[in-house]
Amino acid sequence: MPVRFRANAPAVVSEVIDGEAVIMNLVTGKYISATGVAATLWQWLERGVSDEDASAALAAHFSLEPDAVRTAIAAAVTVALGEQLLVEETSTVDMVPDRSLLPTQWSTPEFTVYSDMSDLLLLDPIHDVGEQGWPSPRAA
Amino acid sequence: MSTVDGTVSVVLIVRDGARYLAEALESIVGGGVRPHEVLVIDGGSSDDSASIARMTPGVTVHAQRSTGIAHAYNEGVAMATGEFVAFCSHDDRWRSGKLAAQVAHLRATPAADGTVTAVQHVLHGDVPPAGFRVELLERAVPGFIMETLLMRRAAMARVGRFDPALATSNDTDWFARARDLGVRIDLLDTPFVDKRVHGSNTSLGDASLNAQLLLTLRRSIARKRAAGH
Repeated sequence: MPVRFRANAPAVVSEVIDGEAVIMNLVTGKYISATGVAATLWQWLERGVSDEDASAALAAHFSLEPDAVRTAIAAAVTVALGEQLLVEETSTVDMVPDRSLLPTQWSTPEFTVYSDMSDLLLLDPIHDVGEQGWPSPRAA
Repeated sequence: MSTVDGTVSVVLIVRDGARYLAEALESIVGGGVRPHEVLVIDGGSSDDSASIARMTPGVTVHAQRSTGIAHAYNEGVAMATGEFVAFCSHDDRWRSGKLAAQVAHLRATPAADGTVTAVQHVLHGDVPPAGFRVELLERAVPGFIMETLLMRRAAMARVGRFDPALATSNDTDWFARARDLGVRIDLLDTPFVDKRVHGSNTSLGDASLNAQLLLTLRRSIARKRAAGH
């Protein structure tokens, strides 16, 4: 059964900077780096691409064994859910993986979690995400 | 008024802060230890901020030559002559004993480069501003913010200037750089700063704050990666 997700806004905000997805959880104070395939996976998942569609697209593009890719994706998703970066989406609308985001080389997707700045980040305000994907102050 | 074992320069940045400035300055100069100097960097206030500051004994007012918070801090630090440098905002308030406790800690702890203290957020008005974490009002929390910071001036130079490209997260970037450099900033558990929460707080009104924080974090990740961490 395919599972779709969305970013856990407004606690979680992210941006792709020079190909690296930087993800910040303002509730836990942790921040996450995703490079290579992980950056692609993050962008697909937060846009509603299902885990199965992501796995299939990656396996096909890199000519890899589908089960191995599925296992790797599942491991990355487990980390993302554990860090409360994603929440399951109830929508059943199929989102097609944007292949322009694919990196040139396969690498096992890993979300690297940092917690060394939680005491700084937990002092910052939490903003909602506006329609353009940019943070905007929550309505009073 | 007691003395402290060392000289402390206090940098206070202000722009149109007449409403709270006198209270902030009184908390600095009347906090039990008189600083060596209080440098008010005025970012072109159109209200009475500059004249209010000039009326406070021991305070000098300097018109900011550039614009923005980061430049204001940088100008203040460049002017500072004390062995230690501390900071305050025009709308916040130090509690008595702050400087004495922080300087005493650094005297007793040569390995420490600076200290911060706990901070108590205080709501000004009836309703918390949009985006503010109301749980911060319930208890004092570790305050890795400029208003609690007291640094050895030499250690400040090691970390470098506040980045003016980061309009409202330049302080977070500075703390992150300090941490990545191994600069040691100890936390004192006593809440020595009351931080006023109101609708005009700079970070609360800046919709680009999260983008700036993400850039700050990305820089820190790159530094860690370069250092092999």
